Amino acid sequence: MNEFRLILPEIGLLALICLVLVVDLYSKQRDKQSCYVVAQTGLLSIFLILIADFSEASYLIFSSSYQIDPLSQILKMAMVLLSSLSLVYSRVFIQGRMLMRGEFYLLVLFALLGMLVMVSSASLINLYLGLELLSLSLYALIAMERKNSIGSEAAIKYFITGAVASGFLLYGMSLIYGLTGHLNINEIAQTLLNQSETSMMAQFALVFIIAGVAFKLGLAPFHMWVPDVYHGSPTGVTIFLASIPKIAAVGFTIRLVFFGLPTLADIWQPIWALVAVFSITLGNLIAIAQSNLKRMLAYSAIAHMGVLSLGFYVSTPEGLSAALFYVMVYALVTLATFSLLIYLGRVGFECENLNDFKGLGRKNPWYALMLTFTMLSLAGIPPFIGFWPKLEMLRVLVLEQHWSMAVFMVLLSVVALFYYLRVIKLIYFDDPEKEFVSIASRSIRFAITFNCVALLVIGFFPDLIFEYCKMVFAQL
Amino acid sequence: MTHQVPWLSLLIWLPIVAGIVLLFIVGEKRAIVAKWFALAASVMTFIFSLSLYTDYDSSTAVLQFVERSIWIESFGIEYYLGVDGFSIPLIILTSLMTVIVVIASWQTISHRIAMYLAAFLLMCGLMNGVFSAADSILFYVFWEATLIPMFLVIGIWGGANRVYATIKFFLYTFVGSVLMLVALIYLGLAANTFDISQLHKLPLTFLEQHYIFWAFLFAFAVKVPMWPVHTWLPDAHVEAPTGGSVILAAIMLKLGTYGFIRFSLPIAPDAAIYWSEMMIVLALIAVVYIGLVALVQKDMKKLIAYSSIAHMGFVVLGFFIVFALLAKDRSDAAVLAMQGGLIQMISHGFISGALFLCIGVLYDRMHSRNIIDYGGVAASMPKFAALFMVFAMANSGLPGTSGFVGEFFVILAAFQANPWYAILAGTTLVLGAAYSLWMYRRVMFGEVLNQQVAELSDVSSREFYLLLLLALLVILFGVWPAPLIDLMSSSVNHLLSCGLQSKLTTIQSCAL
Repeated sequence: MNEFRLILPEIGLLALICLVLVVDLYSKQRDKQSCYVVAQTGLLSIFLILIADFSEASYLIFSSSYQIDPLSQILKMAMVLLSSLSLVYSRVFIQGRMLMRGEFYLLVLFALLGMLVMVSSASLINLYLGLELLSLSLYALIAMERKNSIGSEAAIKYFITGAVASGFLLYGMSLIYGLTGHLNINEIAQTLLNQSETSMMAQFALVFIIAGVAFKLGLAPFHMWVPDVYHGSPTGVTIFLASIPKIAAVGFTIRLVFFGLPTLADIWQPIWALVAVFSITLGNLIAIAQSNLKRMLAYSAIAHMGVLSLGFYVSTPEGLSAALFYVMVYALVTLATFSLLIYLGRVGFECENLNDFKGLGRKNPWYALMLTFTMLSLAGIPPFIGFWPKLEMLRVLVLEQHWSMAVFMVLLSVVALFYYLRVIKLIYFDDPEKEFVSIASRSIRFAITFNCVALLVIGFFPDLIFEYCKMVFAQL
Repeated sequence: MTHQVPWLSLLIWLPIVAGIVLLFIVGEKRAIVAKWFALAASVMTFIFSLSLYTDYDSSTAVLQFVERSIWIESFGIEYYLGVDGFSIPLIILTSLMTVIVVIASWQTISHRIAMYLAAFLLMCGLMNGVFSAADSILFYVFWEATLIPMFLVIGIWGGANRVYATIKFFLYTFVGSVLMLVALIYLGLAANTFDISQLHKLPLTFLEQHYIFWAFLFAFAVKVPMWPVHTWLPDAHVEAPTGGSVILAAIMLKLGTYGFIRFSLPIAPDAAIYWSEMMIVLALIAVVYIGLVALVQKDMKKLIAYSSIAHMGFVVLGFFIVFALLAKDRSDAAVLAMQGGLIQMISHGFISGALFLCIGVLYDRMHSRNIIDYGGVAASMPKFAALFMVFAMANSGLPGTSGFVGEFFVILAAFQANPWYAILAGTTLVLGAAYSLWMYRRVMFGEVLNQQVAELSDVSSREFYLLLLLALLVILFGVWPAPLIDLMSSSVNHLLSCGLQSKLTTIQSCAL
């Protein structure tokens, strides 16, 4: 197939970005409705192209620097679809708030482009390029609410720590390049395989690379930015930043670490174990002490990413597919959770402190139920969807006989259950202190209901997602 | 063996769907519609559950009413339902108690009644699911899902300290069950299927069995609850609304003992033998020590809660003295012990449920659960006093009531295992009589304490027939337990002859 035909989604997205830019320029509406419509139509078309072009074959194109395989295609579909969903929520958020609306859609699309590049790169340069495109767009997105000092603080924090992490990553990559003389991931893997013993240099490089990757995933001990950024960003941005980049980061990690440096498995395994244990413990314990739901979700994200990295720790194809499954489900649930925060907030009042949710069950029973669904999904209680990736992760751990890790994971999930239950307690068991005025937009209400009910329905049929995650790694 | 009607799916999904309809379509606006709707749904479920009894072939231990189809292909999980002699009585009990709870809350719950009734319908369906699941992950899904409605029932309609109680309840149960999940996954991987009957046949080393036995023990011991992990139960019971207490005591506790016979004993028989003495000691501690604790309670609900723990100790005792009896080659006594435990499960369902209803009746009138606030109630509530008497007697194990049958079987068998077991277990008859009847005396007899008591109105006809029904059942199974024994006997025999075979020696084929 023609090389350009294969990257049609990326080309289409770039064209869409240009189109949105022009539409933004000529649109006279205050809320830039036309930008939104163009962006959504474009995203859906790209999604349809992805589905139509799906094939199980793997293509290396552009001098072996770009790879189209089931992994990249599945990740792209998930990211495009979820981005489109997140725009439905974000649109409502940015209406009426002092945000640069046209630029918002533009930056989200640029970030998405960066992620598409990240997950299908086969060379270090492309990987880095995609990552930076994503990161730069996110820095700007976080600082969108210019007059909000917390937002600016979050952006600066994210920018500085992110730059350091990128530096780490780049340094690690350059060492690998120096060691092997290749930028192409497959050739790096081949060269390292031919070397009789693992050199000190490769180990050194690996540590830097994992540090960079762990930062992007928000894993302890590189998690410092997560709570501040979740809390400081406008909720309409947090919803995007908390869900879709995680999927891209998982794809990125799999490409870079597992396809590029498979010979270093002995060294990365204990590192992933350490990172996972740190993240799960720290995330779950500190989340208990939070009084702000956004911060609580940030710490819970750290813990979830820790569980996910147990899949990296196992590092068999099954472990990776468990991690992939985990992140997809996590992104879906996170979108649903933050969408409720957007729905319950309004201009001048952000519903984000835990106490703001008191008595929601009485005032707004349907959305209280939806929030309960998301909390139970995050806690991994069957039959909600969050249970299945947890089950799969446990299955993989048990299969590879990592007993203590499996028991550790389930015991800490009990701790996690406590703070999720506390939210349900506030919703249902406490008396309301105030009225809930919620956004009247029909599209967001429909989207929330659809999204949250999907958590239950897919919970009955997890194969809707998991089948594809398994297929990706079937050939390995 | 072909059954046209998917009875088990019907028993699971009818109440669940009814609960959802009640929640979202009927709603809170027309309370009377909600009540009749819930009643109709629960009565229909109960009638359907009776068809299990009539169509069941009690001469064999194979799973019946089987429904089997692939549910989640990638995980190898099946939607596999089937029941045997252990689960049918419990399913019928669940469906019956749901009807009773719906009727009992007819007037007592005024706040968000549709949601309350919906929670019980959902719970009924989910618990029927637990009892009829023949795939271990399906079992786990139902097992965990039952926690959610109970969590909400205690938390929304409970007493003053309800939040503490309900979160404690959820977390305690969850800790145990996640360990069970790890064990189930291990077994599933080893057997390459999650089908429970295949897990029974799976050969396991002694060490594996130890780990698995303990993982299961954590899950089931919390649920039963056994000493020393029982402390969530008194809290949950005291804070729960009447209906919540009834379902909790009558059915939820049985999930734990059901787990022992469905999972622990047949999957890890050698470890069960190894640890059986410890289990017996824990059970006896529950019987004796918790019996003493019950004696000093000032709160009626707490008293019944502790008495539940003591009675459930009997069930565990019955299951685990089986090994000592088999070792002595007394298989007839082993059958007796096992049946005693099973009958005790059912009988305790009726008795504890009824006692919580009785306390609910008093609480609705006086808004107090403290024994000290009562005295001379019999004078103003004679009909109630008579019915309460039956249950108090049954709770203390009076011959002629169902409470006697199970306890007598277990004590009789225990004597042949070790007379000391029997002597210690026998104290329950003394202690049970002491705390039940002493409470009865303080509440019902004596001087009419105050004006409030003197003005108490006797049970309404709704309450009266409800309690009368339970009283008749208690006496019926006390006098004539044969139907129950017949129903379970082939399953019991199968478990004793096949399920408990050592997995360490050469595997003997034990075809069904």
